[in-house]
Amino acid sequence: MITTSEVVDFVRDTTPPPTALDRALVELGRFRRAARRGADTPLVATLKQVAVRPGSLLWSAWIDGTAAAAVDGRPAWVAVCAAANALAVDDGGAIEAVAIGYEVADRVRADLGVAHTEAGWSVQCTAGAIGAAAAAGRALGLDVGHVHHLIGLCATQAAGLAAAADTDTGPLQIGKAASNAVEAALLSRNGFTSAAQPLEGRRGLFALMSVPPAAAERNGTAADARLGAAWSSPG
Amino acid sequence: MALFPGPTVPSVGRMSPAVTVGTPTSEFCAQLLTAGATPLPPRVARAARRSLLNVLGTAVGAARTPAIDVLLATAREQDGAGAVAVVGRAETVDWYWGALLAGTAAHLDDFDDTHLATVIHPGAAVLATLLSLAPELEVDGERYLTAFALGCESQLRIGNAVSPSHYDRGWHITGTCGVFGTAVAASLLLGLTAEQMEHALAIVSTMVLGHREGFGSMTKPFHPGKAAVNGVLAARLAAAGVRGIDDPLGDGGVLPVFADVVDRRELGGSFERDWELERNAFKPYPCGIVAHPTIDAAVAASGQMDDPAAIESVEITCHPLVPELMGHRQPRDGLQARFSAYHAAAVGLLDGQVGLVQFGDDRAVAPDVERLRGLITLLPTADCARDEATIRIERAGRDAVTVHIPHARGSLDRPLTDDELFDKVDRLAGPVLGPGAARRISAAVEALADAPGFDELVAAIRPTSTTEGEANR
Repeated sequence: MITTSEVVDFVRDTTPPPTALDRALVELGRFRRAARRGADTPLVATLKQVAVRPGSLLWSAWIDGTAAAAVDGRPAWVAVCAAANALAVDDGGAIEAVAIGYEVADRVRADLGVAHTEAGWSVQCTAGAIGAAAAAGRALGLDVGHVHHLIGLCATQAAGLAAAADTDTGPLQIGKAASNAVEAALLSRNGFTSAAQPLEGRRGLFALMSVPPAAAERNGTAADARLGAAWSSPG
Repeated sequence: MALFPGPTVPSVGRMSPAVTVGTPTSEFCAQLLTAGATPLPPRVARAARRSLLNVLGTAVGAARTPAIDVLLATAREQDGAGAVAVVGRAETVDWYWGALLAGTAAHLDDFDDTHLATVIHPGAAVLATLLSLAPELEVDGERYLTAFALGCESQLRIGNAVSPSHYDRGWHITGTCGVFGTAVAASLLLGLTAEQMEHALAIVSTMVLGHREGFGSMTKPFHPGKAAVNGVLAARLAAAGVRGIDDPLGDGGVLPVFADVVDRRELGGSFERDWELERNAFKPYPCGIVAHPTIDAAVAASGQMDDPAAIESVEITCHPLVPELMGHRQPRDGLQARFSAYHAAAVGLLDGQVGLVQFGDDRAVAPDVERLRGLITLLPTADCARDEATIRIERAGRDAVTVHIPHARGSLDRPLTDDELFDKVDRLAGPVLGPGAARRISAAVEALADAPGFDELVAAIRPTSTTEGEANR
């Protein structure tokens, strides 16, 4: 089970290798094309109508994320791409943020295990929320403490139902995860505080949204693998 | 922006089956709409006014705290200008930030209402919903009061259905159930149909939030703030035709996902019966409720002594949870002091009152308080009730003082009186808005059911002079 501090250090200190950046570039491109195609759907038109300021950071992350999730051909982690796309100052920053966010989202999904999905949660939205937090923290270049609180704010809001996938709320809940991450990054940068152990704590994400660690199915992932370990393994 | 479409709005996404007769959700929403169109029973109206007054007080009291400053600074940075009032301040923001600010402020000091059976603090998120919608609504005051009552009641009934397993697992039930209450209140105020309200609940069931891991940080009060945002969003989206899953309160919804046991009988029942809102209690002291009988005893004993320096020893007979949850012997700051029954009893004895000042950083390390904390012994006793305590004080050259509190103030058996509640609001609002503020707030709450709208109440929770705070953006 990954700890919050490990995620914070990874977000702050890791330089993704070229292969990871190449993949992130492809995924970001896929996201932007999907977001453009989805922008014309009635659902996204309605969301824009409800948005206070569709062009602002937290609303645009929600709108673009929803749009990209509403059509076929979307990237693997829409919420991660939407958060990175909204906050990064340039494409280079966005690609790095996507690479970091994908690694975190993959790892959180593995740690949540099958029990999480079987319970009824949508892992795109939950692990996606933590990946989006990582991407947001990286895109803004936040300090250690700020990234820590940002992850806490996203963990406590991680939600979304697998059963909702085929309704209007399916794309909406994925976009919402991105919007929450953008908001959390902006709040934590200004000093908003959160939990010390939002992922691994006794009443944190893993405890509440999966089964207790002792009984957890590891689901084929090496329990002690470092974040980024998969980047250097062959294949 | 078309927020009030007719009842025949088609789904903007895939079509879902049209008929949802007789599901737990449809019955729940139909009942809420009926209750929303009916005058509140007098006892319920009184309970709603008391809950509203209490949470207005706590929201005003937190107006100038760091968490609120951070939210407001971020709202500014993100161009969150709008017409929604920020409680206790001169600024205004858009509805999104307005909901987040008000809900966070109202729960900030953990001094708000508590429904003891579920540990839900229902008022904060619902107040925030009302405030965030007020500038765009043209509905009368009675409708606001009814929406407040039903917004609280609906989250309490859902809370009962998932208690105690949901909270025990570690969810902050004020956030997870709060989103449903705010969606209900917003649906009622925006005039949604029954079907639209069902979809508001379906949409918001994908936006539940709140882990108890965040307790002790700004994230705890953030939960009801964001619950208000999410509920208003869900109601707006549903009104615009967005559709979620069928029967979000049923077997395929979120309740079985986040609770081990769901008892849906708690959702039903007529709205003519006793309301859960009548069991909403108000904290007289800004700290854990288990220490409240101890504080009552200390404050009462303080009135029987003229020289606290003569105290040689203090013994407090209390429920075993008191040392377990509030066993901090010598806290070093205000936050730690909130988890110290020793501190709570000491300041009660010394100051004769226990409010936000007594849990501030200054009193936490004051020498007289430190000395007295060191003289206190807690005697946890299995047959002492949770709302009961006895204090015995030995003094140099004087008679001992003993006070027994059978039921703490703010408990179900001894609710705060209207005067005590007013006094609490006065202590909270006075330092922020000046003397007389509590009187204006209380008068506006009393008059709400007969008022043309929410304006008078909103005016009462803001500074009267433009010199206070900054000008509107």
